[in-house]
Amino acid sequence: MSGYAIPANDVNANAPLLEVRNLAKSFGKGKKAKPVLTNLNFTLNEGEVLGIIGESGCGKSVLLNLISCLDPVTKGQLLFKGEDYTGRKPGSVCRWFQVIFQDSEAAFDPKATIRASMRENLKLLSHDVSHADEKIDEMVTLMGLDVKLADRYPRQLSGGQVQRMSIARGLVTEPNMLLCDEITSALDVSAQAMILQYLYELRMKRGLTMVFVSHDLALCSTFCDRIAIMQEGEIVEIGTPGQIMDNPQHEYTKLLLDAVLYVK
Amino acid sequence: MANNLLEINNLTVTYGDFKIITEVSFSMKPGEIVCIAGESGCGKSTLIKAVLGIKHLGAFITEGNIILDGRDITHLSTEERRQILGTQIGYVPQNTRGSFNNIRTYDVQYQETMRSHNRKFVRSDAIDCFDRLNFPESSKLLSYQPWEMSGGMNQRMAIALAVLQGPKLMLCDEATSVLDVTSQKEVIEELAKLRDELGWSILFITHNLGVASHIADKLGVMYAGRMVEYGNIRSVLDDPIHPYTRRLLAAIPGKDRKLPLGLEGRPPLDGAEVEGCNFVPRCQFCEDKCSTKPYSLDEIVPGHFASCAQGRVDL
Repeated sequence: MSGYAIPANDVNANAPLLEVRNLAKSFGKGKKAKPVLTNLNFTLNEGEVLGIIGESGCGKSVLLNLISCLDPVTKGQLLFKGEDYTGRKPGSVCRWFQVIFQDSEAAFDPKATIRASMRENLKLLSHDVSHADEKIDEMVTLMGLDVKLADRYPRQLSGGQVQRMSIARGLVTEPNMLLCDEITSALDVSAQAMILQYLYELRMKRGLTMVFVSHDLALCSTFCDRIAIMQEGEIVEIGTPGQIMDNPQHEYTKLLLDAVLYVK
Repeated sequence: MANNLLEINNLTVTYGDFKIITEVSFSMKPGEIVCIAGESGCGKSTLIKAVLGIKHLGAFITEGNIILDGRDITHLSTEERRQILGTQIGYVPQNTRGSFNNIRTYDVQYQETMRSHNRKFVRSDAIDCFDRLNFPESSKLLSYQPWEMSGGMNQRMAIALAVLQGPKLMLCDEATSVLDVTSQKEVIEELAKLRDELGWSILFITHNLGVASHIADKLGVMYAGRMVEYGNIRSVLDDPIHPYTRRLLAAIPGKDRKLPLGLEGRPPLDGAEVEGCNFVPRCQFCEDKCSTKPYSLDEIVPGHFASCAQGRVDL
C-alpha cells in the first residue's frame, strides 16, 4: 500500500488507480490524420507494475504522453481513481504521475546541481519546501546513492547514476505512479540490473505503481506483474509474464519472444 | 604467427595522462568473429578506434603495436591510413544517425564515400549487395534519405556501405545497441551470414553477452582498460573464471525470470596505476594477493585466458 496521500474527494475506494478506456490518438487533421493509437483499454491497480512492450514506433511513448496529459487525447477517456481527467493540463496531474525518460542527462539542467533540480521540482509542485533537503537525501539514499552525489552536476555522474537520480527526483514529489519510458535502454547491462534492483526494492518498501515501457521482453518478465504487447498502436496481448512467456497467443508476441537473445 | 589477420600486441593507449587501455593483446584469424564485452568506459570503443587511427582524437598509442595482415599499422600517416580504411577495414558505428547526412539521399552519400576511398560506385553492385543482405525493396533504397528510414534500416544501410567496399576486417562498435530486439536480431543474423558466405572477420564490440553468445567465436571481457578474460566463446560462457565475467553474466535477464544482479560501484576511472587487479574494490572474492600480483593474462585452460590472481574461485 502506498504511503502517498491524495486529496480525499478524489478517492473512490473500489476504482483502479488508472483506467484507460477506448483511448485513441492520431496526429494531423482531416484526410491527413495518421492514427497512432487505436482503441486501447486497460486498468492498473495500486501497487501494480505494468510492462508495455513493442518495437520502435508502435506508440509506447505516445501512450505515456497521453496518460500524463502531455499530449491531448483524440478519443477515449482516462480515469484516475475513478475520476475522469481527460483533457486536463499537465500541471494539474503531475502530482499523480512522474515521467522518467530514457536520456536523463538531457532531462536535468546541465548548469544546476542535481539537488537544485530536485528542489525546483518540489517548489513547482507547491509542496512543503522546508524539509526539502531531508526529503531529497532520503530519496537519493533509497536509490542506493551517496547523498554527496546530489551536490554534483549531471555530467559528473555516470549514466546509471544520473538515471537513478532522475528516479529519485521523480519520487521526491511523492507521485502515485511512475511512468518509465525506456529508462534502461541507454545503459549497459550492469547499470540496468542495478536500476531494476532498486526499483524492485522500492516496490517492496513503498508499493509504488509503475508503467514500465521497454522493448526488451526478457527485462520486463523479470520484474513486471503484467505485460502488455503493443503492435502498431494496439495492445494485442496482455497477461502475466508467465502467460506471455510460456504460452504466447498472438503471432507478434511469438515473434518478439523469438527475437530475445538469451545467453546461450 | 603469419596467418593472423589482426594482431594486437601489448597495446597501451592514453588520453593525456589518462590511460584508457593497458597492455591489451589478442589476435584474430581470418573468418573469425571476436566479441569484446565490458561496461561503459572500459575502453572497448577506444580499442576499435586505435585500429582505425586515433591521433585526431587526441589519444596516443604509447606502447605496443597493431598488425593487420602482416603489416604494422600502429603509426601510419593520414594518407597511408586513408588507403586501408574502407577497403581493408570496414567500420559500423553505434549511432549511424550521426554518420549519414539526414537530408541527402543514400545514393549521393554512397557515391561520395566510395569516391573518397578511390573506389568506383556501381549502382547495380549496391542493389546486388542489398539483395544479398535480404533488404526489402532493394531497388528503391538508394533514393531514400536517412530521415525516412527507421533506426534499424539506417543501421543496415551503414552495414551495406561497409560491405560494398569489401574489407577484410569489419569493426562494429555497439552496432546493435540502439536497435530494438527485433531489428537487433536481424542485424546480427546478417552479420553472421556475411561471415559464413564471404569469410569475413568481424571485431564486434558490445556490452550484452546475450548478443555476443549468438554471434561470436571468441570472447574477450575488458574491465577498466584491461583484458581480464579471453577465450573461446563456449569456454568463457560455460565456465567463466574471472569474477567480473560472472557478474556481467548475472546482469543479463535470463529465462528463469529472476531479477538480474547488478554490480555496485564504478570502475577506477582516474587512470591511476593500480598494482595488482583493478577489480579488487568491487570483487567479493578478493584476497590479499589480489592487490599485489601484477597484471598478467594467464592461460588457465588451453585457449582460455584469465587475469584473476586466484586462478579459479568456486562460487
